Amino acid sequence: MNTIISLTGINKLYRTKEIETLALENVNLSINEGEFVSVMGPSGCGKSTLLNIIGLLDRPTSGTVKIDGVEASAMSDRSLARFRNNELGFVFQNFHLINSLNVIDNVEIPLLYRNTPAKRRRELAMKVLERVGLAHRINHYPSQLSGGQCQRVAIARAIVGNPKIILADEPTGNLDSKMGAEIMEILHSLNTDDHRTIVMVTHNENQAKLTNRIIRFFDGRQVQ
Amino acid sequence: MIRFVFKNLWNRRAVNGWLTVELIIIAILAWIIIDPLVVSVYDRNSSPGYDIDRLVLLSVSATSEGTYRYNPAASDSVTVIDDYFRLLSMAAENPQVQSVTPIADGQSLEGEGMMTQSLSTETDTVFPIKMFFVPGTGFFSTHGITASDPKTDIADLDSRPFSDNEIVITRELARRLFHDENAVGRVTVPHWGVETVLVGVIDDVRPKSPMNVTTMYFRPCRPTGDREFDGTKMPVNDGFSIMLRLKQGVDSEKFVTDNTEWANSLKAGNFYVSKISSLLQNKRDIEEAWGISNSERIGSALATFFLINLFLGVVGTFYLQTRRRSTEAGIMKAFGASPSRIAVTMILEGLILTFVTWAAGCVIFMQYALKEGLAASHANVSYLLNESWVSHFWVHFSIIAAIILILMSIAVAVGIYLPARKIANTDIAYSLKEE
Ligand SMILES: Nc1ncnc2c1ncn2[C@@H]1O[C@H](COP(=O)(O)OP(=O)(O)OP(=O)(O)O)[C@@H](O)[C@H]1O
Ligand SMILES: [Mg+2]
Repeated sequence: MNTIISLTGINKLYRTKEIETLALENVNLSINEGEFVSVMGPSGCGKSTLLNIIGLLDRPTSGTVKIDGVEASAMSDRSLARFRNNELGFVFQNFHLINSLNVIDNVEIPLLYRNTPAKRRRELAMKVLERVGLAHRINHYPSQLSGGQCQRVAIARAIVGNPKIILADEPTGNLDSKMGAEIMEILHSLNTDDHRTIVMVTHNENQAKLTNRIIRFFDGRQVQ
Repeated sequence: MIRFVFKNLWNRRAVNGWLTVELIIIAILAWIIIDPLVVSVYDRNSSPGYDIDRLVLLSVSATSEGTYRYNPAASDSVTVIDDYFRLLSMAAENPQVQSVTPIADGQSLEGEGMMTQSLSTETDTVFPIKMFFVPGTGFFSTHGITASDPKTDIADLDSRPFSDNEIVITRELARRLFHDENAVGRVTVPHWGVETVLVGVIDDVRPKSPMNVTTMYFRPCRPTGDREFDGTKMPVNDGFSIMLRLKQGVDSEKFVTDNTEWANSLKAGNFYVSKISSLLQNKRDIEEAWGISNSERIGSALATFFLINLFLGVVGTFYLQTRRRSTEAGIMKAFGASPSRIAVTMILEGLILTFVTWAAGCVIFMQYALKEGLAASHANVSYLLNESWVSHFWVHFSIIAAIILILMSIAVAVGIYLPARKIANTDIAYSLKEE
């Protein structure tokens, strides 16, 4: 199996005027291509911080991050942007859709930054929207959708650019159990059918049990 | 990308609607403020048609009969003319003076007196302003007047003896008389009724700064001590003026303060210098007398104040609006937008909004301007010409509109760029946490 995500000696220190928080302490982690991993732990233990570092949304204070064989610390902002665009898809707890754009435009965003022609963008976006079961809602705005539908749009946006890795931070955290189950079903299908690597933060033991591996954190340290 | 920018603008119309209304109002206010401001700045700074910077005027008076300084021995016409020439050459001896030329009493450029007299061809009659000059005294070069057609040579005009029926005219006058500028050698009939030959055409001159450029002609006259008033004579008994052209690099205002004593020392017979002033000072005095300087100064100060406020208002509005978009920037960045792309997109949105509102503001203001006219140059007396861009409606409109567009674009771009650069470079994790 190929290692696609590898973290070595990661520390993340948040400094504010009053206090310093060591959000991650000496984290070493490797995740294989095609794995579906869940990250668990109490609130404030550093799960989101970990995901942001894997997703190159944040830089560690020390340590090395290697994604798909490329070391992140060496990259400029511009090449980081391009790398994220090609390799990574994000799903957030509170969806983070752009409210001023309708469903299909939201889904097209990653392609926009790749300068994909408009017609091709539309095709690809339609395809992923069909996959998440929202092909009939393409002209709706986020405010006109339920939470579960919003999250499906967010998943469509995460996969439209065909990234190898999907990072999901409590993707079902704001949803009721039925909608949560729908989302999990989509994620599992992306993992098994499309062989995408998925790293998901969750507070739900049942969801976690269904993934390949559970990584547990406590106070910034990996405990399992 | 452009399509996305338009979509974003349209879909954010709840916010952008207000911005649109605000910007349209600002465009109209900008018209009201900027149009007169630009015209007045242009008027103040446009060339008078001659080189005013290094000119100094000496006003020469004569001691009047009966006072104890009066010298009866120097009152005969031969001595008067002698003294007149002596005073001229004394003035010319100042090491900072390049050349001098005599002027009929009170009739200098930027001076008080000025009269219009008719000039006719078979078909047209024009009423230009008349100025006297004394042939052979370097009148034209001392003033820094320039030739406007190839057949006219300033050095020739300076040295030409001139008969009584030869005159020099300005270009606009040539245009009015002959409908072209090729006037040298042609003939007109002036008010004195004798066919008069045009021996030179010079560039237009603005005789007084509050006036626009106007038509002028220059008639030769000869100094006399005989108190003889005839169109060809310049009686000097009661005084005259001397125009000084200072050497390159000499500041006329400083020259005046440094040389009051020298000026006081200039005496010949009954003549003495009663006043020394730079032409720039005379110009300011005239503007003051016409009530222009003061109202204009207050007007410009107010206008500038309002303009700065408007500018800062626009910058501030867009600053606040854009700062609120940090989550959006974070999302765009998470999905692969580079920081510069985010800033460019946001600025582009702002500029499109600016363009649309500017166009709307211009169209609205145009309705008013078509009825009431745009800002005019001051002192639009009937015999003055209006031949600058100021008086051509569409040229004028376009110039001011372009200035307003540029100012608005700068304000909007600055207002967006400052926060956009910041939010585009903020850590995404941090932007996404805010909400
Ligand atoms: N920008 C920041 N500045 C300062 N401290 C921060 C910042 N972001 C996170 N932290 C701190 O780092 C620690 C880890 O935060 P993180 O968001 O990773 O927790 P989490 O495990 O995702 O919690 P939750 O389950 O509640 O989402 C917390 O103690 C938090 O207070
Ligand atoms: Mg978290």
